[in-house]
Amino acid sequence: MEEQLAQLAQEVSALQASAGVTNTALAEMFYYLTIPLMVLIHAGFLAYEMGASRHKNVLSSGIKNILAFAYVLPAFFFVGWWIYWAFPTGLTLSEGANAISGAGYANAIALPWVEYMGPNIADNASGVFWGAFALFSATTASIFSGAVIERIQVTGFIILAIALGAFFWVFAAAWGWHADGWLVTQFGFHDFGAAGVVHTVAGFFALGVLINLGPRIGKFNKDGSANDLSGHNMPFTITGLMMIIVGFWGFLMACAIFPGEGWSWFGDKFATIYGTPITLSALAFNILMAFAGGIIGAWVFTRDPFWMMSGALAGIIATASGLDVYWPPLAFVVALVAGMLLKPAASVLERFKIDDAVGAVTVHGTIGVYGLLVFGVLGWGFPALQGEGAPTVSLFGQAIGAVVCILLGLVPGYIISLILKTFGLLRVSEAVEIKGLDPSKVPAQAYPEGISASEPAKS
Amino acid sequence: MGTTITDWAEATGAMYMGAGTGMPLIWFLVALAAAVIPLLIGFRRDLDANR
Repeated sequence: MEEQLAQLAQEVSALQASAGVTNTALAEMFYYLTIPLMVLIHAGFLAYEMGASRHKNVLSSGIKNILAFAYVLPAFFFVGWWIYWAFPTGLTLSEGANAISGAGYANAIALPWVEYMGPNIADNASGVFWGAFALFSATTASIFSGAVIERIQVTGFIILAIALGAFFWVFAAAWGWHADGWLVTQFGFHDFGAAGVVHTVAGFFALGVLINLGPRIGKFNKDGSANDLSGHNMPFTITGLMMIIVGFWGFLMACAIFPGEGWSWFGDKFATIYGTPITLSALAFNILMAFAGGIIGAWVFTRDPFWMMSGALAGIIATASGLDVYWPPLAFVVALVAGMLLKPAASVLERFKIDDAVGAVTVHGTIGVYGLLVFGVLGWGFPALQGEGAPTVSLFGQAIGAVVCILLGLVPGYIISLILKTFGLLRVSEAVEIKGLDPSKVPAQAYPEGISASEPAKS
Repeated sequence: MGTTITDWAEATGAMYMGAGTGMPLIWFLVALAAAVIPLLIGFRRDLDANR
């Protein structure tokens, strides 16, 4: 009998070890797969921006976009990851209640030369977590990228992309997208899918840059009215937008914390980044309903496929803060209103002679704020963290978070672009802009044979 | 950079080149410079294109 019990205990122990290995491999695979999905966001932004550019600027827009991706990744490795873990409690660099923040913690896990920041046979998490976050960073930088096409200097743009992607949005994430973040612990700020910490920050950063960059030549008439500087390939732009939507499934998937690991919040269920429970089913319900609502809302007002697909994105952004707890029909309505808001919000910007070439300020900035505030009303009373006495979601807390995100975007975007402008590194010369950025700066042609309609075959 | 690992059975933690030595810090600085220098070249090109 004793022998049988000992054998049983041994088998149970082996089974547990095997289940643990399977869980670890699944967790690692889960985050690993979010990375190529999020790369699709960049493929989408690439197509979107090149399609929205005129013939003479197509490749320059592509180069700018590719370089933002290339520069933000190492910059996030060098400093961004450390900032995320060091600053949640504020500028004091002190440790938070969950003991996963502060300078000491960040120095131990996130300095570029520590044992976790490279191949480590005992660590299946750091690389894939870092990878997913690096893609969040690159996404944030790419959001701003489209607004400034057809007149920005490449290197000036890279500086701005690094500032946004490896510094300023990371502060917003540390403060509002971390269980020790002061916006969360003090104000009950809740932003599951980063409507504020990614979209609002990026949208308002773009606005700060656009104020100094100025409109494209020919965008506005003397009487203040705006001209439509259509891109050369609308189908390319729309396809790009659809790719961004596909990529967002990876983005939002990576916002969930896998169960059953040493670093997990729960042994038996997914959690949000705040340690509150979530299911992937919640995401499936709400993302799809928001996607549909946003398209329909934009269609009602515009009948324009560009704004309809932007509406899809706006729908997801509008509901991103509460994708974990929205009731799907409510998510649909919130997204539908977001789709309706797009065109009027873009028109307001034009009245101030802000030339946002792809509507980034509107789709990400304005709708990001709308999403944060709407969730403050509809999600009122939900505990923002796990545990007794946790702060709850409120309109006040969401509004504080929105203001912080706006300032973290707008102020650095304005100041850094002003400095670049002073040194002549922000905008290309008038002659280059009129001739086109491609013939002036790119040793390649987008369409060496032109684009002409081919004759149909004779039947 | 090299490695201190002589048998894979010994590999129980960090196993990248130079792990446990001061070399990663040096290569971090080299990588930083490798990112910044092309940017400086790019500045020059941008200013030239504007002339």
